Amino acid sequence: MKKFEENQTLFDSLYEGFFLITAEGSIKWTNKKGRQLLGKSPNMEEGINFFEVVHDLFKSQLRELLQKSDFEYFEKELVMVLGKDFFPVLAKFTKQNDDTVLINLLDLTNTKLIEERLFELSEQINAIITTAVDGIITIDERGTIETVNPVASELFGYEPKEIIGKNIRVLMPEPYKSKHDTYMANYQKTRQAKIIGIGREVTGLKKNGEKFPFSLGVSEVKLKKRVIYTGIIHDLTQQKLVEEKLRRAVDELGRSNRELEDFAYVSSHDLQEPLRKIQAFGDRIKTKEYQNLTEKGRDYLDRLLNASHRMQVLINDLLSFSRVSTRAKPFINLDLNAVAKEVLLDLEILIEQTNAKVEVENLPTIEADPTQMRQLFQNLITNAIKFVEEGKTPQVKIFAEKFQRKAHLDATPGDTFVEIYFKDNGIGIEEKFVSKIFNIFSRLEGRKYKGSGIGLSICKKIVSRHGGDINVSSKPNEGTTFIIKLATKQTA
Amino acid sequence: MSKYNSYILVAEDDEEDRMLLEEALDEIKLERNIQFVSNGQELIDFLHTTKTNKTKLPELILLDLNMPKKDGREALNEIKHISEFKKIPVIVLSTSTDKEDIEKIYNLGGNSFISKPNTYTSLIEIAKEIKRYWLELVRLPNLELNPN
Repeated sequence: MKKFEENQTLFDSLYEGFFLITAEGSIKWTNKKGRQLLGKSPNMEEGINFFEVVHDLFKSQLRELLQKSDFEYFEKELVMVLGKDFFPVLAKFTKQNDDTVLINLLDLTNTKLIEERLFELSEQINAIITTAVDGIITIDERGTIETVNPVASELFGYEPKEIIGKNIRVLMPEPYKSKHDTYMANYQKTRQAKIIGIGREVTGLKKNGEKFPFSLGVSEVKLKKRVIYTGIIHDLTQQKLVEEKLRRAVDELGRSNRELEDFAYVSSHDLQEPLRKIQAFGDRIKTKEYQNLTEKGRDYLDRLLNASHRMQVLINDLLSFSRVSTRAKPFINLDLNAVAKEVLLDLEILIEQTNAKVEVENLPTIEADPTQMRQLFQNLITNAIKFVEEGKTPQVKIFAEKFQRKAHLDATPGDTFVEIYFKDNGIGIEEKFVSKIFNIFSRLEGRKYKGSGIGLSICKKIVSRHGGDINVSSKPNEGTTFIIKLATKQTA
Repeated sequence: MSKYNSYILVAEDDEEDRMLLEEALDEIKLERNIQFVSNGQELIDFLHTTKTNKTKLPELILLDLNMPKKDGREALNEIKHISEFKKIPVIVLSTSTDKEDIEKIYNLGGNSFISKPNTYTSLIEIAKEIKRYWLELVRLPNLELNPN
């Protein structure tokens, strides 16, 4: 005991607690840390029995160990009790020459906390990995699979134990399979990543030989002594199927649309020829043979010529309607004020004749086909001026409002729209015709109503091509407002 | 058939159009013989025959665009590349109103582009205009192929 007291300063400086006890447990000496562990003031160590502060669970076992006459040294983890507090310690017992025992106590409280925290963390990470909706696989620097989460194992159709320890190549089809080793070696040499930290779409190989598309994100994890790679696997099978379905539907739609366009163009072109003959020979009869016809014959001929003239108008309409697509030009940045100005210049005569007042407020600049915008403005302004009660001065007001579609599509081009209003004081449109005025076919069905010809159908087609829409609000005798909605930016 | 000393050449594949045109030209008293060919190839062949026989070239060619074998565009291109023929005025008469077609015809050396009218009355008007401008107002080049 003397040698410990002599080195008291040294022992007091140590982080571990030291006790010298008798075989019965009474403490003969301790250092500073030892007193702290006992929770006693420096002068109170005498008369304390070491067993008093050992948890009941360990007491008898410890007594037995200490009373064995032949022990020299042993280690044991114990729990110490101090009032209501428990704390874990690692105790090392060394028998001294005088049969006293030196106890060296290492407080494990902090260590335990860290262990618990580590355990909790790894549990947490495990839970995340196990419950992740994407597949997660980790490999080492050689490509050997170290971990596979349930989703990954299900995706590839392997039990985890079947592939852990195997090379990641087994999950790849050719030609990637053969190239993978070279790729990894290259990466480790040059650090030129083609996939690590980037992610891309790749093809996976299932156990049953099936291939499937997935998006792969690979990250490099630098551990203390080595590097592992984590691959996050997001199955794209469903997405690809949907994409393919959509692509086919769009193709089909485009094809049938083109067919319709072609049909309209070709038929109107080809109808033109025989019609021209009907008119020309009808004309010939009228000039050369009219006198030889009976009155009834003349009436028939006049009706024939009249009908062929109407047919001509319809064919011309159909041609100009199909030209909206066949003569479409690319979209450019277009100042609609300039468009309005040009159109008003073109309509100068009509405006003068009718004494019309056309007011144009500031209009936006959008991406559009200039020729078609002119046609659109021209049609709408002409209608607004033309369809007015006799004796009334046509008043037309053109103005714009800008708005953004509020939806999940915030970042999509074509998301911002302008609405341009063409408001007139004309005769208005009867409610029952409102839904039909834009429809070319309802006009072609027959001459059910007097309208503006094919003009509005063309307007609708132009607006649709610009990702927009056309609407009308009207009351007979109160005027009409056409509202055209146009996307400010075009996708193609 | 050689009622008159000079003639115009009409390339038109449509029999009815030929008939209407002939009537119209007759009605306005063109006072020229009318030679019809029914496609571009016949047109070129005809011109080569005049060259071989050293007969007279037509004063005007009225040319339809859409014809079988060789269409009007090809025929026009050939005519304007043959030194003896390229001076002959070529007037295109077509149902086409296609801007690109019109550009092309003038680029190939066509002298005018007229849309085929829908009625006989307008055909008469056009025939009158052609006569007045090309056969009365304008001075045409020498049409003799015989250098003497």
